[in-house]
Amino acid sequence: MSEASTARQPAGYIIIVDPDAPTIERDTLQCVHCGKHWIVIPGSGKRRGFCTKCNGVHCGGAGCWECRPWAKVVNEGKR
Amino acid sequence: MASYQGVHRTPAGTNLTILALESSATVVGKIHQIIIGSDATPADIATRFDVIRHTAAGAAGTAVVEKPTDPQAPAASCNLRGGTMTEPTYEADFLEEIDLNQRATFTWIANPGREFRTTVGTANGIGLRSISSGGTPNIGVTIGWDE
Repeated sequence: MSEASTARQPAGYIIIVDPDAPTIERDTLQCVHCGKHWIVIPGSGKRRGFCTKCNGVHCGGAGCWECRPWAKVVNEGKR
Repeated sequence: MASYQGVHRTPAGTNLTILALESSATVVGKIHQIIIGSDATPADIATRFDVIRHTAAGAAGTAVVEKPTDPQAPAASCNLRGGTMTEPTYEADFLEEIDLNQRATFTWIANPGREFRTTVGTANGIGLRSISSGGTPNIGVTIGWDE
């Protein structure tokens, strides 16, 4: 097992079991704007962000730098 | 709120949906678990999977019957469609991308409140799709959701 805990407040986690490799466990975070989950890889160099209105991380996708809370968008059926 | 599981197996390939969860007119599904594996003869075949929202449901394919976690639960309102099918119309951006060797088994579990939620409406849903693959191994997918 490796990297069992990689985020303080994870939104989920993944487990990859491969007979030829060690089992991999990683936390995932969820974008507050589009709902995407991603695996936390410290030092990956990928640019993420933090929305102070939503008080949570966003994925850094092109459409996610402007505040658009995903829960509100999905609930309103506007996606 | 009730919890359901759906399972389907179909070969991987290029832009082929394995399993899609479609909303009903009034109820959304909240996907909290995805398991991807293969029952094919072990081989080193890399496949890329995407979890993506769709805005027009697929057609034909296999109607997959869900299993409620609680046997007393009512039938699910959301609909499960298994591949191979006439592909749904997907959004450009994905919710999760998984690059996987065929030998491996992948499990994703969302924490409560952090599920992938479908948008209400029968055209809307979330599909698990093989985007590209080095072969056509049979892929088995389990999706667990609440509604």
